[in-house]
Amino acid sequence: MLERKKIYQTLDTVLNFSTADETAVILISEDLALTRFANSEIHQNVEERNTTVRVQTICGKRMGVASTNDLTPAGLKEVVSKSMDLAHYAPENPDFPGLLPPEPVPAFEPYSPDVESFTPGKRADAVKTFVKIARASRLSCAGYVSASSSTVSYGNSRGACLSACSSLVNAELITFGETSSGYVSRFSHRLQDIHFEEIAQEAVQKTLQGANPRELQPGEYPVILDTPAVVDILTYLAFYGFNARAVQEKRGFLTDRLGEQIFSPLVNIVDDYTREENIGIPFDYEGAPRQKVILIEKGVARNLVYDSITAFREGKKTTGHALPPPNTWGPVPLNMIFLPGDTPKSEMLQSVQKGLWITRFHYTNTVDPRKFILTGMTRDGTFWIENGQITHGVKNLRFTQNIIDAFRNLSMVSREAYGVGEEWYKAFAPAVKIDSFTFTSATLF
Amino acid sequence: MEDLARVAIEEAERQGATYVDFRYQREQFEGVETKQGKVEAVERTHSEGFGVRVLLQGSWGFSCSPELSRSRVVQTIRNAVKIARASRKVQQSPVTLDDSPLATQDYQTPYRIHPFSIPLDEKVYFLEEAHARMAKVNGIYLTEGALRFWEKEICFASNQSGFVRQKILESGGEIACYALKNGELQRRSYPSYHGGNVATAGFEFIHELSLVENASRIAEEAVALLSADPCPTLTTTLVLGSSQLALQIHESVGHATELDRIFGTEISFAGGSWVKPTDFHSLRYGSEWMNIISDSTLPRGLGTYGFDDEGVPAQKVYLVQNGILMNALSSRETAVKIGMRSTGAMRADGWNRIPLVRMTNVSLEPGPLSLDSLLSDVQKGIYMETNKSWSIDDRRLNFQFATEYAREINHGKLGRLLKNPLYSGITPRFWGSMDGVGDASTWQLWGIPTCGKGQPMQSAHVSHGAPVARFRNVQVTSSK
Repeated sequence: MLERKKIYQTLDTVLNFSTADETAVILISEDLALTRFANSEIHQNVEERNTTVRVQTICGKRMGVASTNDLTPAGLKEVVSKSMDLAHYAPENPDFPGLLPPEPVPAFEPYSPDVESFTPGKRADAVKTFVKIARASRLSCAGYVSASSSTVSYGNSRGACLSACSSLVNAELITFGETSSGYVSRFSHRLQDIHFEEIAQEAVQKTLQGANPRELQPGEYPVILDTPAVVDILTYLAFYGFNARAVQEKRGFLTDRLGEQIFSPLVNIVDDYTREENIGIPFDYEGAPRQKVILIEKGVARNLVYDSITAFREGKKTTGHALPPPNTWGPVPLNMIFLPGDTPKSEMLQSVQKGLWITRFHYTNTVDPRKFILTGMTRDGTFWIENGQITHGVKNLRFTQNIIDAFRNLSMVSREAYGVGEEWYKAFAPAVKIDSFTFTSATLF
Repeated sequence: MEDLARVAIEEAERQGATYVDFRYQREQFEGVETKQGKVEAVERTHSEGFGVRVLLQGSWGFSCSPELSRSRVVQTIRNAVKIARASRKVQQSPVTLDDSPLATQDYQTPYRIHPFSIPLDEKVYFLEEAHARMAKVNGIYLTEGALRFWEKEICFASNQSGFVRQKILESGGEIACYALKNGELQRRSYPSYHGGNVATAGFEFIHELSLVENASRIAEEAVALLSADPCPTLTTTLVLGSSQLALQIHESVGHATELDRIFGTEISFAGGSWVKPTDFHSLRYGSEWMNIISDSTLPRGLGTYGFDDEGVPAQKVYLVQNGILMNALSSRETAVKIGMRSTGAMRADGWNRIPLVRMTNVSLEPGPLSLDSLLSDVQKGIYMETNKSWSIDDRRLNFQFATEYAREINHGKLGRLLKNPLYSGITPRFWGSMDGVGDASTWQLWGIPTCGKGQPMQSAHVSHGAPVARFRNVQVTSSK
């Protein structure tokens, strides 16, 4: 990552080059190291360092955005010039409210220097641990371990100057037997929080438990969705649900439903960057302080998240959830937490007479964003539950489900919860029990 | 740049690497997006740097830098060697590469009008005019439009090849509109969903897209869908329009025939394949009508180039011939494992990413049937076009697609409009049920600039040529 001094110098340089009415600059500096393995060997091992400068210039109601990774004075001058060129020729956008004035932002940096010690050798050692534990049960494994650190900085011609860094260690493991697989994923901003042996043991246990899966007829079943499956659904809630723009454009399922009891009273969802489990930073890409927003309270849809444009349309103040400009998608809650309940997972399991335990979904997609119908496949740990116990693995199934109905039929929320996610979205969630979940077809494995 | 490549190769060999490649890449993007005819996003991006791959005693290491200096190249090579040394700690067998002939010639996308030379207002005109026509249709409440252009310059060299350059230019655009009534939303896109259509071409391609000319039609269709009957639930004959068939090829053939997936190295993220490494020349993938080609020489495809990111020249190969699996999308490392040569499909989405096995232009060859004769053999069936939703399992077997638009087929003729259609199936059964393929007049090339794969995630630009085709005994229904 770039040093802070160099970051501030770069922000200043860009702002000084610009002669636009208003100028904002976002600088993102990232280091990424990732070791990927499959068939119990490392097949990809990469490291990257890059810094991108994004310049937004405004001339009246005209706006242009340009970005570069060339940080030389000539490169910065050129990116400002390109941005101004676009702003000069762009048609006016009457909805653009202008840049935000500076506001105080709390100091908060989910960064741990121990990520720097996750060298190629240490990453290979972690993979070795996975391979050794999997092999002891005659299993193979695939996945990745990675460490990254990034600094997001924001400055504008109204005087805003913000910077926050974060770190992220990720470990994802799937162990494979002849007929089954088991998935476990953990992340933290601290390397010391990642326990590679525990991850491997949990994945191995899932794989062994799922061996020789049996076919199951598609239909409606009670399910326990484990944390990764819940986070998958939360991702779609974030992008299609709580996004004020999706509601303003009547695309989202929360259109005209704020204040309504849409989910079970057991569902409580907030967006809160201060919970360290989610690795958030205290401001958004417009330099606005991120607010803690209660999204769902006891099943009632309470609030949406806003950026300056969507807030301006409704005469509100931004909640600090803007994505980088230019953004036609709208604001997104990037630090969602589904608040844990008070039921141990073991008790949830015991409560199921006949049903399914779903570890994870694959290739989930919206069938109808307005009705909030999703489809996707189960993978890497789908089990049949009978009389409160997991009895055997089940061949993977496709769900096609109205999620509003599913979360309305949610009857238990686990006490245990953790953060999980892919590169583009992470969230913190418990496991949940849903009394009826619709599977529309089955696959061959 | 040739000097820097030489420095990289010399330093890697000095460090004991048996293989090294150096790839410089410079990318520029320009995009314009409108909503309700108003310009909401105008953007230009630039990214530039180099990446090096080394093989040290059969283990890979990759490192990269945006800083183009001799000292940085040396440092980057040393880092890649250090990483490769760590990879050796967990290695089953050393990586070997095939003996593919490597590119010796430079390449440039042919084009007539460079899109960066066109003033912004001329670009915006197409979107504003399309909006005006869509918004005129009663019942349309939201319109969208976008034009996007990419220029990519690549220099490649390895210790097994010379220094070659290529310059790729891509242009594309899309429009869409939404109709809403009693809480029900219908969207129509043109020319397709997933970025509309994109080609390796200049601004002339935007003229050819006829965005403005098609705006009123899609708006009327979106409104008409609101009062259409839902697609019935039944097992029936399905005729897929070209753009939906393109996505069907993408998900159930293209990804499934990527050789790295077949060997399991993508399993943790995007998934594996139902195809096994021993299946070539024997596996029946589909019916006799099925001829799938990977062709990176095809004019205007997003998978069209002079050479891939390992320096393997562009080529045309049958992946499936008369329904039998013949070859795979492959790299030098994966091809040698099945006793074949790379099909030149290694592609990276930037200087800071390693190349992965990706799709090129993967197309279904046209058949002999006109659209009328293809429909004439359908007593009862459904016609679907323009993808709306897509999902497939991690071995590329169980798929489910929803489309924006469907028509009933009755006694060989297209009949009433149907809304919210979706169909599902299992890959080899579905392709095995194909019993009619449209002729060249129904065949169209579709560029998809959003194909995700890899960790870290990479987005590839790929194309699919598809005619209209007919499938029997397919499960169809509507989203409830």
